[in-house]
Amino acid sequence: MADSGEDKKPDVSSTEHLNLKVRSQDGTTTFFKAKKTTKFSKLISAFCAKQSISEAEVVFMFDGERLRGEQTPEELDMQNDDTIDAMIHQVGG
Amino acid sequence: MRQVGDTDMHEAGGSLDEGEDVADDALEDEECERRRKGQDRAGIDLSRQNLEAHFRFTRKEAALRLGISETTLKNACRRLGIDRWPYREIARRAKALQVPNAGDPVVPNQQPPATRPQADGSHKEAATMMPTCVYEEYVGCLVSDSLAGSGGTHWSFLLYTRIYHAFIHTDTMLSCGEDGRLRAYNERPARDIMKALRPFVGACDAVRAREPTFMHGEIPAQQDGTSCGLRSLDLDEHGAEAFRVMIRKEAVGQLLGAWPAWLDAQPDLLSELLREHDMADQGTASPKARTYKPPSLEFHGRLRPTTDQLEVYHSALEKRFDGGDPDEVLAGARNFDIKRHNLPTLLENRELDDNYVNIYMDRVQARDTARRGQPGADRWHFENSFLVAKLLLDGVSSRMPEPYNYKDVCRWGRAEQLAHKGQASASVLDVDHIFFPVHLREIRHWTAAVVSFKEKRFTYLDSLKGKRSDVLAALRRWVEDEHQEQKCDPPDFTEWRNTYPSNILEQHNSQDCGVFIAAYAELLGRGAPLEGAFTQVDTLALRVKQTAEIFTGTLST
Repeated sequence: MADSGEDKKPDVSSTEHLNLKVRSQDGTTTFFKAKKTTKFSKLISAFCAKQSISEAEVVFMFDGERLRGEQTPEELDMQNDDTIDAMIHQVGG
Repeated sequence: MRQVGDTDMHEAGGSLDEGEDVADDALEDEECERRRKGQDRAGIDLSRQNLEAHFRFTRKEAALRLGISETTLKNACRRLGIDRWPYREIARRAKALQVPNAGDPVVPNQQPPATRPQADGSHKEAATMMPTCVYEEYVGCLVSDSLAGSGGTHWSFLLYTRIYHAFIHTDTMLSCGEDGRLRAYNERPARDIMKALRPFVGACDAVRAREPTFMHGEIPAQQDGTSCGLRSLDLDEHGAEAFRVMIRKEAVGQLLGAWPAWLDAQPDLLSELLREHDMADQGTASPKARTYKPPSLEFHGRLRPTTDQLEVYHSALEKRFDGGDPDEVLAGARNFDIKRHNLPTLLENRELDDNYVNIYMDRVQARDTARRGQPGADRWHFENSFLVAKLLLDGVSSRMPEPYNYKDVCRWGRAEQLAHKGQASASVLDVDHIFFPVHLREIRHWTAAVVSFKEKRFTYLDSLKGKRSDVLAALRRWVEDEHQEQKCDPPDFTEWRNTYPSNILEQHNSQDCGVFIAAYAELLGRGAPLEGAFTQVDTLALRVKQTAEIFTGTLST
């Protein structure tokens, strides 16, 4: 996908890439292809730009843990086709 | 130039006699000057702007309303380069749009709400405004549950914000669909209107090509069967409430760059927004650091925060004005954190967000881990607020036959996740009680649920005394599914009970529910009784205490 923003370098083998899904709360899924060592901040900003939402509005969760922009799929031991949940912040009184 | 004016005038006016005396030249000059200014002979304003306001009428009617002959109007149009009177075109578009009668869009920028004709507007009027909507930051639209035309039983309000390319629907009433799921009463007509308006909003084609987001705005629910119209229609009075809430939530950070003119008509609202924006803006680009005046806090209850806690609270709030990076993390727990731009939520009488609740859950969990092994200490697991949201398909439109989805959270209870959360047990089922913060998006309210394996019951804790059996039913299924996932037999639920304790601390406002939930977790976590521990008047003290605990990282009790 163009939005995943990674460069196509010939020396990178395809196994280094992961197909990740970002699932919005409205049920739609966006697919991203990202290098294992790419920071999530790239994916997050691509997703937010695509959905035209502000990054401050959304929380990204993976297996019940919030994703941080500075983490990478490798750190979290993500597998191919893993799903990230995009959740809107909860505010209440 | 003069030449053109002359011919134009002669051709246009048609009433001036060309054979007139040369002495009339002066008069002609005057006439020409007037026309150049866009006035006719009687001083009637025939500027483009004024004519545009009459586009919604037939040319005949417009001429009548302007008090000129049709010919004069035709000539004025020619002068302005309008070859065709646009009424028919507009009517055609309105027909194609099929905007429901009740949902005539209004553009607040153009007409202040007070003078705007209300629901009796017509299709034509809608369409006149359509082309200009493209450039509007905000487009408001009334929604009625009757799409057929006038009538219907319920009003709500749909607001388009260009910044987010989103339609925000605020509805004072909820209804229960066939599938048993709560939704906004007017959700369906609102979505239809969204579809109809879609080609006419958005700054550019690239934006318009994207599917706009449909969001639910928060608005205080109506308590009677008659005030929906008041709340949705009377923008000068009750509607202001709706706008305030919507804008505070969705656009406050963007407002100064895109200020809707109609807001100027709402001085109170305006000052409030400016104050909000001021605060939100403090950390951002503006380099001017403000001095922090500690708010005078009055504690009316029995509970008093300690001096240390007050100090932490004030020093935390002070950071709002130090001009630092708004995204700097000031307090956090594992992956949830409070950044500088989150600080205003900590103020007295502010609604709390998931960061606050989830960090507090982490603090209570840490204390629980430290208490493990002590005699009489129950083992607790404090889940984060997103599990129930995910489980109950929060935010998913009611496409699902029943709002339950275990698949999305099946990996949340794994041992490595628990270890990362600081849970001492290896399995989420190997504890005595599990505490779930529950966020009810439709009413913008925090509640909590407890699954107690030890006491064999599901408890729903709501500071406003709500009873949501569907939440407890979902948690019961979650317990079953979690057992299956972890390959052990689900418990026998025959002895289990659902309880809704009525003697718990009751909330009397609409800002403090997050404080209550955190307090419930703290009390339960150390085995203290919920009743009698504090009352509504203690919430400020609790807020200070909890904020201090979040910022220092440890619980004081």
